[in-house]
Amino acid sequence: MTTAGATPIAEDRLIPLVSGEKLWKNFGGNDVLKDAGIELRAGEIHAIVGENGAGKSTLAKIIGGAHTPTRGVVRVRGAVTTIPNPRSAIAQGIALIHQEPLTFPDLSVAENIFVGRQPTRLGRIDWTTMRRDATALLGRLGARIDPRAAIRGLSVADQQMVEMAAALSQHARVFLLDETTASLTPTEVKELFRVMRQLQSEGAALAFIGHRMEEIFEICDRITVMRDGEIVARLLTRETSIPEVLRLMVGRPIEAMFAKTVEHALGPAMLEVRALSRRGEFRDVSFTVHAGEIVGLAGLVGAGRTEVARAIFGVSRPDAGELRVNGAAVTIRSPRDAMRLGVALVPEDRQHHGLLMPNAIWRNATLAVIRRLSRFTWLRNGSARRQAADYAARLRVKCRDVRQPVRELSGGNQQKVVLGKWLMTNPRVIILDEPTRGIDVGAKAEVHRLIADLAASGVAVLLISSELPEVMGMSDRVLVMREGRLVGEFDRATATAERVIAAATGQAPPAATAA
Amino acid sequence: MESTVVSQPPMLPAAMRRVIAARELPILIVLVLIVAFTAVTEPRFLSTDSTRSILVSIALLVVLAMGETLVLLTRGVDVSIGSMTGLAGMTIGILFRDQYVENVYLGTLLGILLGAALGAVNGLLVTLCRVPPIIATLGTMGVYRGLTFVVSAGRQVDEYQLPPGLAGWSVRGPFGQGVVPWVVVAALGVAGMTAVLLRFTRIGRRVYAVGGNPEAARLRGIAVGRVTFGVYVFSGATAGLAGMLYASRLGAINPEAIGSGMELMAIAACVVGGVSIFGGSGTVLGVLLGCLLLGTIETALAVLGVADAWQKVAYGGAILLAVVADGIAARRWGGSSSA
Repeated sequence: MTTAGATPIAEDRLIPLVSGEKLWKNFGGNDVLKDAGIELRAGEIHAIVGENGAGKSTLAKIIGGAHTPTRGVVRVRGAVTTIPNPRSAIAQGIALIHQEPLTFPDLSVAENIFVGRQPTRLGRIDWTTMRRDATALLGRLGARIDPRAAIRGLSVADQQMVEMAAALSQHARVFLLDETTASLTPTEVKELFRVMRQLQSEGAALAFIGHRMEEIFEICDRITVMRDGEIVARLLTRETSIPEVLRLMVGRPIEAMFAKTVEHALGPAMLEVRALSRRGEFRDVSFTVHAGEIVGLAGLVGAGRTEVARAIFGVSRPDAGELRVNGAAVTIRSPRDAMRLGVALVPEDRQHHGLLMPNAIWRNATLAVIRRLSRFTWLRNGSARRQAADYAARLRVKCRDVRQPVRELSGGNQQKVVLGKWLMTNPRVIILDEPTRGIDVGAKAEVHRLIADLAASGVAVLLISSELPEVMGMSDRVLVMREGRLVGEFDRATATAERVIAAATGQAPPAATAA
Repeated sequence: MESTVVSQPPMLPAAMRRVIAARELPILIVLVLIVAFTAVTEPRFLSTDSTRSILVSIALLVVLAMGETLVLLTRGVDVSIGSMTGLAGMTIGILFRDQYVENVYLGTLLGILLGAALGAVNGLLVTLCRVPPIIATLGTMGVYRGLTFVVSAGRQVDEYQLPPGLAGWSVRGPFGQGVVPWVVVAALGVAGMTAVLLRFTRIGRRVYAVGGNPEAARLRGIAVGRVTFGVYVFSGATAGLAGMLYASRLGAINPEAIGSGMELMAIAACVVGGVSIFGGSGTVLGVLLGCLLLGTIETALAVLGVADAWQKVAYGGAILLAVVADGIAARRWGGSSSA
């Protein structure tokens, strides 16, 4: 490693600490990473940016040992290596820091840093030395955390510091920070940046995955832009601009992907939300969805979109605000109330909230209309099965039989079952939360067709999606949320990807690049 | 409006929270109240014989609870400890009776080893076969109890068939015929060992790590399976020892009675003593006090003339009370447990 004449630092600057070449990753038939390459050099902070699903996290996880690449080569200090698991990654000096810290809530800060490797003396754990070493490490990061404190009760930011200290104690030289600022306050972000600069000055390589452009332009030296699993640009921060990066992130002509919904006249206001607030989640959210209209709700993960949907559907109670369904003021205390009013919610996480995985398709599909299909509490199973089969055929669910358990279906077909379940309730308002997440392209197109048909039949649709092309392609209007507030509204004519992204990330709209 | 203070749950000062969160103080208070009340009502309660009897029965519970503590700390549970106590105790009793083994210490060692082997079966079921702990140990609970009848042909091993030294462990101690017989010393030894293991060894700290956050433990390079397997072996070994202590205390080994119901008492003692059933939190001191409290309640109720059935109600009640109080404290003061 140390060739004669060259100082280690100088050599580090020549050879990247870690590099990936021609990396591919395939999940369930989809290539989420295509021929991606990246170099992380000593003493640099390197941003990886892209839309949701562009492959940033996958790339970081491959280098951090959480995923193994389907194809491709990873090098550490120039030498080809394999990183089968996070343990191996840390042994090779690579630490992956997650948005949600992986810590042990009941153990102390010091122990969280040294867990599994506590210093011992005569076979006994040496608590004094451990605390002293922990204090030294935290001091090196400039973090003011009591090493004796329990992790439970520390902020996410402090827990991230503890994870960084743990990585440092294992001589990590490469830090992969995956959306670590997403749940931090501005002050905590500043503190994190100070620590990142400290590590940078010690010759570490840092990869920073994030969405907020101002943060990236403040802290990063280089920017790698990803789109659809591919690397589309490698830029020096000082030679580029926020509008350019946004343009590269969005890239392709979006409208081409989704057929515009057929123009049809809108009906009366079906769902009206007025000044809805819930402390810690969202504030002062107002909008209207008309019969036959698809309203897209765009924003970054964590902007509060799902929370608004849950409050409308009665899963959580808003602190303030007013709801109107079909023109009448209503109070929705529970999902039962919502369903009675003709409001349906197709949740984001179908595994946990939408489906009973081991149960048959028809059982799942008829769950929401169990009352209608039963007489004096006795379920009329034959009739239920027939109706479910009818819907399954209409939605083109690929299955042997409606008696097949839903866990045997593909993600796309599971999603169709969830949709079918709610369609059977004949809703007037349907809220779809990430309806195409994790399903393949063909199924996606069918789900989109279904949504368009629904709207055409006069249902008011609120479409929450983190996929910009989807929101923009499907929606008659696009609302944008950021940090719990509604920050933008665009109709088809004014909604450009750049504007929506700018609103979602808190940038001034780039006037020059608009269409 | 932006004030973050408002949205936080009310927090007591750290020192006060520590006292409330620390299970030791309230248990101690309840314990003193029970002892005082019973002693005033029935002075015989504090006689040497009575005290020794309480301590001997608590000693058994302590040994079993130490094994259970480790299992609970990893988010598991072992309901087969009573049956393991029975099978190990009965098997060694038969070895004594048929004079394959005459030395009491060798017999005890064999009992511990047999218990460890029975625990290893649980460990393999949980780690290798991925059976949920409650189901795995519920199964072996039945299997081991059945085998106890099989090896004994349903007959009891009587006092005269056991080595003469064994019963003496429950009577004599390092200070002669006093309130502290050898059985109690052994239990304290096991508790001390467990405390050192948990507090001062990497193995012990791994147990906390695995229970606290299994995913994080795996990512930090801890062999989660090996730790999990180990705690079931330990639990079996303590049950094996408990089998011998049981034989010493009662003088005879009955296939139906030996160890029966002990799993419930041990789990109760752990939970009352502050071990979280969600894993990752709990101390030996707390469990010791839990054992002391439950054992005292048992004897106090007997001394006060309460029927056996009501004693069972009292245990169940004590567990529920402890868990409910814990949950309330956690919600009110942002303390431990849950999540």
